[in-house]
Amino acid sequence: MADRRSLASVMALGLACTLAACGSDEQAPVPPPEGTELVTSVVPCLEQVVPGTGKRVVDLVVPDTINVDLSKASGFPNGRRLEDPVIDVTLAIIFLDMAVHTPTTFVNLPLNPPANDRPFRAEFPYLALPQGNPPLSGSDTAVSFDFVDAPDDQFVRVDRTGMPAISPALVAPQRRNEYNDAGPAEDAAFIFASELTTQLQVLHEVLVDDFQAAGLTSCALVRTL
Amino acid sequence: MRPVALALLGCAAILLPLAFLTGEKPAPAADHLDPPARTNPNSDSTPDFAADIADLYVTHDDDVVTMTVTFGGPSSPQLPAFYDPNVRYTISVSNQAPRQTTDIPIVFSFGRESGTSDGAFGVRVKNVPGVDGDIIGSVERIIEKDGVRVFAGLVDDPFFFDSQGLTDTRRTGALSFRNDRDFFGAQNITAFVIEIPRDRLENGANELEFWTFSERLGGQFNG
Repeated sequence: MADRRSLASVMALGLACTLAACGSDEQAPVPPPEGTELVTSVVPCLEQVVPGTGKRVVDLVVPDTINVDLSKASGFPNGRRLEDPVIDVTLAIIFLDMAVHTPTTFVNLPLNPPANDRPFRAEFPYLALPQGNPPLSGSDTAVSFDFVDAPDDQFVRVDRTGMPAISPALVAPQRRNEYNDAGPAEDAAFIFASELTTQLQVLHEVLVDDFQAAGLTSCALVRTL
Repeated sequence: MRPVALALLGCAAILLPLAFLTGEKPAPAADHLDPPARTNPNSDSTPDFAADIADLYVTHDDDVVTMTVTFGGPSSPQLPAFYDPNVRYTISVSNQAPRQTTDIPIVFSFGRESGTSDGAFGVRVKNVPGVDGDIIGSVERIIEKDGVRVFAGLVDDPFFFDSQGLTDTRRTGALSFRNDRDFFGAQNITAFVIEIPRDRLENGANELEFWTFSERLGGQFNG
């Protein structure tokens, strides 16, 4: 488990560097106009505990894995079922104050389609049958197949996935290859902590007025200029 | 639609600026067409669809743990599955501290029927706890061995999200989302599923961690 203080400090440092252009010779940006809602920190969003889980948001996204407690019922974020509305839940826990709202705030609207267009099967393999009549490649008679057996060092990483949408939503495109070449060990070493914080900060800055207009309370610290 | 919903839909449009192609249309998704420089036709002239993992699902009940990985999608209903013998997929399971290290690497790969160049495809699963040797069988069939069930094949893409609303909102600047429109509806994807007795993964009261990755033999796909 990541040390709480060290994780928060790394993320806070990343955010501070972003806002202050650490190590940059760039000129200071023009101050925003009076009345602008300025997001000063998203660390509270990452530090808040997700109701019903006992876990902080940051513990659910770093490392980028799906966490399962077998003693508790299955359902996102304790695992991920096919039918779970993971995007709406994720939006709520990273944007909204969980002391005011619930993880199902967006699900209850609903924000996105609430279910798959085809019902999942009750029996293994559970996934719905394919759409249309695509060409199939199975056989009831084939028993022997030729598989590639090559040394591990001849295989090169292409993609990785754990929690849904972490890479696409919280990692800048120019760092996606690096992120996908890494793994939970690098995540836990906070290699991408400032990146995740920076992207979340950018999103909050864009959306803070939308939250206010919708009567929702952001989890970010906001200051009105 | 209620005003609050409209405002929130605008939020979603900005949260998920992930563009990828499905057929001819750009759209966002969980991990579809990511990383874009390797798997997205907008960024890569030789996108590696077969190695493009879309989603990982993990469920459990009193008896089993079920892991599902989708990749190579969403794809049009007339297209076949992606069974590329030069790509292998690993589901990494951690069942003891530290949580970021892999204790059980379960590896999937595909191959043609022996001695054929266009025969049926099979799937092989290695390193399954409690299984004597590998699990091997035809794709698009349920395979059972030593209490473990495996399936690999083309299925309906289980992910649901109104990515067309995102595309329209970004293009027009006007909120255009609908919660009754699923971009992944009527689209397929390739998947593999493995169901294991939970005592094969369970390690006392330890929590489990799951993640998955793909690798291509010889490096990045170049057509």
